[in-house]
Amino acid sequence: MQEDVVQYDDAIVKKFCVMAVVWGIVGMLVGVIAAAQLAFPVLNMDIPYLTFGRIRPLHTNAVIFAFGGCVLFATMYYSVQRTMRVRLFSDTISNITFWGWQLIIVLAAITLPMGITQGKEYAELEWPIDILIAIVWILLAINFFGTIWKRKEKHIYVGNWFFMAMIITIAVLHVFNSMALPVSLFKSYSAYSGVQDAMVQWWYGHNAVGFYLTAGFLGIMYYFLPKQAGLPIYSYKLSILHFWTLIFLYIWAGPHHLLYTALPDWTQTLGMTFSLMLIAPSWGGMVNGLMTLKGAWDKLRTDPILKFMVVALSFYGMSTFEGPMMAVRTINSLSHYTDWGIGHVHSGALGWVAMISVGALYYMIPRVFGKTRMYSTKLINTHFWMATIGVVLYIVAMWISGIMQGLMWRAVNPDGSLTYTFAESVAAMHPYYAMRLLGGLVFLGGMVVMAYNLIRTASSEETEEIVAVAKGGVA
Amino acid sequence: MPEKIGHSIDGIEEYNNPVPRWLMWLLYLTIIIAVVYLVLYPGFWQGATGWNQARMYDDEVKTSEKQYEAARPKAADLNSVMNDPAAIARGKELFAQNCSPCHGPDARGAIGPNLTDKEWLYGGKPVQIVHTITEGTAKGMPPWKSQLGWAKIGDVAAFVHSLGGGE
Repeated sequence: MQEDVVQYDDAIVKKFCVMAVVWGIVGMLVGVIAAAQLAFPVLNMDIPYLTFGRIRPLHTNAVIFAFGGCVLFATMYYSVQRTMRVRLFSDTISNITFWGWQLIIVLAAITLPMGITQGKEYAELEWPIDILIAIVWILLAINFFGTIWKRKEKHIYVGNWFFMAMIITIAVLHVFNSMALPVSLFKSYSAYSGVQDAMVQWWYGHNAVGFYLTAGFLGIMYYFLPKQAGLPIYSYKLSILHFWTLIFLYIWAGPHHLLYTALPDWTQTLGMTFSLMLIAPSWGGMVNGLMTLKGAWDKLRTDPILKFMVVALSFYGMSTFEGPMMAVRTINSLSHYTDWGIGHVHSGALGWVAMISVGALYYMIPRVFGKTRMYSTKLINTHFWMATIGVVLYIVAMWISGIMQGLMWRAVNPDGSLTYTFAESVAAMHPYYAMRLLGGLVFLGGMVVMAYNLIRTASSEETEEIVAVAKGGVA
Repeated sequence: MPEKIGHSIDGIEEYNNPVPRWLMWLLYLTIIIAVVYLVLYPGFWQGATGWNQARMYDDEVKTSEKQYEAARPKAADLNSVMNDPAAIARGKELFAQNCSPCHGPDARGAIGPNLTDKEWLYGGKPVQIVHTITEGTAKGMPPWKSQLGWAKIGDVAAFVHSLGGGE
C-alpha cells in the first residue's frame, strides 16, 4: 500500500482558534456592557464613544464577524484539509485571510465607537472596510475552492457543501447590500432608497443569519459532531434533502423582518410563507445531528464537548421553530420591535452558534497545539454549565420582557386611549434587563474559563506528536 | 444495522437511513399551509379574504374613533370636573409628567405658551381647553387623545383651568 503523506497546515488553524477565543471574550464583554447600559442608563457616562448606540453595533459586529468569523475560518481550514486529504490551497492566501480579517476587526473596533457607520444592521462598516471584507472573502473562496479542486478524496463531504453555500451566498449578499456612493473616506450613501433599501438590507440581514450563522455552523456540526462522537452520520439522504431545501428557502425569507411596514403586502406574505416552510429543512440538521448520537447517549455523561454540541442542536431546533412562528403576521404584530426579538436572536447566537463553536474549539485546540487533550475536562464541564445557565437566564428574561412590552404597547382603555405610556413600559422592563445582564455575565464567565483552559493546555508539557498527516491509499 | 454509503471521509461514515417520515409530513404540511395562506391573503393575487394592511389600519382607526366618541364627556360633566379639587390634584400630577417639558414645570411657558396668564390662544372655556389638549394645535402641540384619554384629559384641563385664567 502506497503511503502518500500530506502535511496539513494547522498553524493557521491555531491562530484562528486563539483569536476566536480572544474576540469571543471581547465581543461578549461589549455585549455585557451594552446590557448594563440598558438596565442602568447612567453607565452611558455621557461619553459619545461609549454610548449604547455605538456600543451595540460594536457588540454585534464583534460577536458575529470577529468571534463567529474566526471560528468559521478555523473550522473550515481544519476540516476541509482533512476531508479532502490535501493541504490548504495556498499558505500565503491563508495568512492573508488571517491578517486581513484581524485588520477588518480592528478597523471596526475603531470606526464604530467614533460613530462612523452606514446605519445598516450587521453591515454598519463604511465602504473602505466593505471593500476590504470583499477582498478577504474572495481570497477565502479561492483558498477553500482551490483546496477542493486539488482534493485527493473523490466525494465532497456534506460539511463542505454548507461551507461552500455560505461562502458563495455571503459574497453575493455582502457586495449587493454594501452598494453605496462614497462622498468621503468615512461617509457614503446607500445605492438604494426607501423601502427598496429596507428590502435589500433585510435580504442581507436575514441571510447573514441563514447562511453565515446557520449554514456555516451546520458545516461545523457535520464535521465535528461525528468526529467527537466517533459515530457515523445518521442519514446521507436527509443531509442532501435538508441542504437543498434549506438554501433554496432561506434566501426568500428576509421580508418577514418588514411585516406591517411600507413593504408591499405581497412581498410580506411571501416572506412569511417561506419562513413557515423553513421549519422542516432547519430541523433536518438537528434531526441528523441528534439521531447520529442515537444509542450512544451514555457518552454525554462523560464528554462535555459532546454536551455542548447536543445542547447547541437543541437550541438550534428551538429557535428555528420560534423564528417561523414570529414570522406569522398575527404573532409578529405582538413580537416585533420588542425584546422577544433580542431573545430569539440570542437563543440562536448563544445557544446554537456559540455552543457549537465552543464544542468545535475544544475539539481542535489540543490537536492543533500538539497536546493529547485539553488541560482540564472538568473546566470544560464548568464552562458547559455556565453557558447553559447563562443562555437560559438571558432568553427567559427577554421572553417575559418582550411579551410584556408588546402587551403594554397595545393595551387600550375603553375610551380608545392607551393604557400605558411608553415610559411606563420602559420602567416595567428594568428587572428583566437586570436578569439579562446576569445571564450575559455568566455566559461571558464561561468564555473566560475557556481562555484559562486554553492557556494551560497550550503551556502544558503533555505533548504528543500529532499525526497531522493524511494517509493515502486507505482501503 | 442500516446500510452505510460506501465511503469513509477522515474516518466519518454515513448511514443511508431514510428521512424520518414525520419530518417529511412536517415539510408537506408547511407547504400546504403556505399555499392556503397565499390563496387567502395578498401574495400571488389580492387574496380571497380581501384583507390587506391598509384596510386593516383604516378599520382599526374607525373602531377606536367610534369608541372614543361614545366616551366623550358632556359639557355639564366637564364643568363639574373643573371645580373638583381631586381632579385638579390629579391633573397637576399629569401636567408634570406630560406637559411640563413644553409648558414649563410651573406652566409659565417654554416651548409652549404661558398657561398662567389670562391670554387664551384657543379659548379658555372647559370644552375649548379639552379640545385643545385632545386634538393639539397647528403650531406644534401634539394631540393627546390616544395617550391620555378623556378622563385624564379632563383632569389636566381642570388643572390648567385652575391656573387663574379660566373662564
